[in-house]
Amino acid sequence: MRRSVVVAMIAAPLALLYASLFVGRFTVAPAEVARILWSNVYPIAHDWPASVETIVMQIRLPRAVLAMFVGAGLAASGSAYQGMFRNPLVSPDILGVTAASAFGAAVALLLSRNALELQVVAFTFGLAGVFFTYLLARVYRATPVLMLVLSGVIVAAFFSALLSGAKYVADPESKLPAITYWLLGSLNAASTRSLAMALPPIIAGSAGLMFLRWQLNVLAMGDDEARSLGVRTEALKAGVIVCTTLITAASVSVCGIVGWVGLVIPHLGRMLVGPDHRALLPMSFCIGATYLLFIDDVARTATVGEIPLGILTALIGAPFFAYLLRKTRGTWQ
Amino acid sequence: MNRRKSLIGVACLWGIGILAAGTRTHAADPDTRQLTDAAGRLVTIPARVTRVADPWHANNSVVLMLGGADKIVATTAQAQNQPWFRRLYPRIKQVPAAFNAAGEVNVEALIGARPDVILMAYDGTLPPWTGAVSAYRVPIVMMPNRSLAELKTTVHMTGEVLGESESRVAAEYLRYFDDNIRRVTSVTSKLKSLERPKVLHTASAGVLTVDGRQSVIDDWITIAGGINAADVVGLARPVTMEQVAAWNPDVIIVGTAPNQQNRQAILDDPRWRQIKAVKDGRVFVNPSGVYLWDRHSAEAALQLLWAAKTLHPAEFADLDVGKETRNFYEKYFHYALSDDELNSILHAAPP
Amino acid sequence: MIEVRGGAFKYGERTVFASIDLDIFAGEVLTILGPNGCGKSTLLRCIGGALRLAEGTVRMGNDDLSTLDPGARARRIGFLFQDHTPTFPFTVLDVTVMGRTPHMSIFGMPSPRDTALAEEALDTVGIRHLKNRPYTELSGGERQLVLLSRTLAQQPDVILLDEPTSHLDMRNQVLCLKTIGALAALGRPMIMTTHDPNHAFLYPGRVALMKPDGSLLTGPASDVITDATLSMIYGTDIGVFSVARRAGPGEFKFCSPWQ
Repeated sequence: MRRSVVVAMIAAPLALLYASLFVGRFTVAPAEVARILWSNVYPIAHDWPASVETIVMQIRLPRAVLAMFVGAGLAASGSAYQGMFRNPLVSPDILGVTAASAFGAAVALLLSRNALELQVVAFTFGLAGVFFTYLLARVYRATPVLMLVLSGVIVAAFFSALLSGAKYVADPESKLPAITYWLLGSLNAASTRSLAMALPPIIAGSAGLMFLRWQLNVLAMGDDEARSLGVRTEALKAGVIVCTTLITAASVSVCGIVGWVGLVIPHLGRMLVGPDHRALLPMSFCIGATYLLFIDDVARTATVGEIPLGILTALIGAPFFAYLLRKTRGTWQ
Repeated sequence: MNRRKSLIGVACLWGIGILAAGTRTHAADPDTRQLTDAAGRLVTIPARVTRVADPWHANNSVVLMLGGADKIVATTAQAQNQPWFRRLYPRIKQVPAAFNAAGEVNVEALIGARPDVILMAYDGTLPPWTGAVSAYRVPIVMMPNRSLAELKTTVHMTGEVLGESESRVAAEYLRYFDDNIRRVTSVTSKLKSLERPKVLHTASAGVLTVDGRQSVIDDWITIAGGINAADVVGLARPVTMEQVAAWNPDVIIVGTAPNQQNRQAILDDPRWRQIKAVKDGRVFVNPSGVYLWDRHSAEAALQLLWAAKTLHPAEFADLDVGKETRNFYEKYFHYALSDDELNSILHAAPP
Repeated sequence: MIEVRGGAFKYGERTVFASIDLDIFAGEVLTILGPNGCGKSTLLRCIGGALRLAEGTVRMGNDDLSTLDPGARARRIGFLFQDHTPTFPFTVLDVTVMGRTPHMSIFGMPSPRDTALAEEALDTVGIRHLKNRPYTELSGGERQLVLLSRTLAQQPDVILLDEPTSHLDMRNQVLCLKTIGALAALGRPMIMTTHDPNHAFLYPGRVALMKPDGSLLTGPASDVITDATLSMIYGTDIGVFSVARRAGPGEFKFCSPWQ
């Protein structure tokens, strides 16, 4: 890739990250943000109230960082799955991780658990859901793509039904609204501690995908051909599934259901750098990070109450996808 | 000729029979009475009500307080699962829960309980099952639920529906309620706005939601001499951490899913650390007994006292919430609270 | 160079072929000829390692192919599949470089040397001018050549081609077959399956005719491909004809159904 593109890819999210720190319902000047950040690296006199420091360092910074990592991770997961399933219409939810995670979160809310416990439960359920899908899809020591898709549909439907059950028994005065708001997606749970729990799986999964990006190219030629080129397709598929599930389960457990990022950003990436995963994966990371960070800034600033992330990403993602559909006339070339 | 005559005769008899049956239902019945409910409907209920279905969770505690709990024949799981309700009135465990959490009804279970009347909360629209139930001619009395003033109306209406002795208890309760309001506002109405703490009443832990304006919670916060810090409308509204930091409440009350763990989570969370309420150590768990005190339960009368004392301990130094609670439970629930039990209720712990 | 001994394969209860013995020698193009569904693709896949023989062995040199790990096998055997559905618009060069994967580590990226070898392969096949085009925009024949370059870039010892011209029109068929001929001339042994007996006459080398009972009739083209054998395996009257070459001496043989 051209040097200028690489520079832009790294600079854009970082610039937006900085801007996000002085945007919000609580006014903080950019210069003050700069001094607060600097004071964590090099001690200088504090001439700002402790509450402002908390807002910048404990509330906004974790939230912005989380937005970047979740956006990057989901976009990369979408790219990886679209290559693996050889289908540009695939999103990271396809194996049921989101439905299972959502049910876990609902259970935690029904039991009045706090946000950190909810995160752990939702993450565990997400992993379990994909595990069931994988087991269900195994046929003679192989997991054909079609079996994976069908098993994902079954497991997702099952957990969706359980989720509906949870909503049905939830007290409509407090628990049901909580479950509803959680499902719509929000980064409000971001804190240094939730970040410390969510980031390691996202980073691990992303690193795994980066290492595997050439093998993903070959897998996109089809299982048979990839095998004839020496690729261990079953191990590779399992590896990609593990990586994307770590990313997606961690993301959903901390911010609910954020749709469209995993589906649309890879297409944007392909339009810019083509389908070669060597360039597409890093590009997806960067665009995804910038996109979700921007959306979250709008979500938490536009009104007093928060606009759910899921709504905003759909409002923007769906028309954009429609535009892509018309432009490519469905041929995806 | 004979055949035609007998046919006419049969037809006449049939017609008379139908007419007779029809007129019977329209005659004024000394066994019924009528009242206008919150939806503006004129409802006809039996003169003596012995069987009541109550799908309004909080209202079950009102019925218990009025002494009419023996008449409850259908209730909700939410109401019958309140640990203190079960302790004070064990029969509630056996009452069929014909209504689920969302307020939908199992019509067979409901009709099988043969209620004389159904008591419902009215929030502006009739629930969708009223049509199905009305075919069974069970009257539904809608009662208002959107403010503290409306809560008083509801208590009065509940008493009226249940019967004479319950009406008397309702009147007494409402006197006590008004007394408490007077007692509290005599102090709080003199407070200047600067002396009124900003109060944030949170609704849930896993997802940050707060209770805002135009609600019963807003009402008792105001009466108790506070200002609702949540500048949103309605109950259980989602807000961002940043917005809470911008509001910077002086007092935080953990309500509606109140338990010590959620309070502790707020105290431990670094994002809440700079909020004034946390710095000053003014984070409280809302008491919860037969039902949650902060909502439309019978214990709303006690909530006023507790809130006033919590927000203004100095001005209400002579107010003994524990003693008031004990007296209330003795008088209305006929239950003597031990020290441990009283402590648990005031800290929203189960028995 | 490759020996198949006692090879048998079943799909469920149905035996596709049994007791197959076959040798492929260096420098030859072995054409496996048979009608649709006779099992020649299955046999080729078994030789290539994509399928496992129910009985028998495939040996290459001293190694039993079934004991090799996928990477080692891919370094020795190149396989050109019959069907390829392109999904993403990779460039021709990218597709060709994928052939270097067996020589890369599992987390590796193609090195400059890999790219250079891929470009050489494109040269050999004669489509270097297409290297930056998305391969989805090419014609069927050109795409087949791209896949052939990919197989070449693998630098395998043997190349297996499964009905390489099945979806191609006459022009693209000729293009493809000529390229295969040129590659054969370079000395690498190749095995090609086809249902068109005319292909068998194109290259020096033996023909293995797959009979309806799953057995092979192997030998030089002129011996194996006759009116009688063709009519037997295709179940219809087919004649083998000769015409004088237009340019140069000798005859040109071809087959055609006739009444």
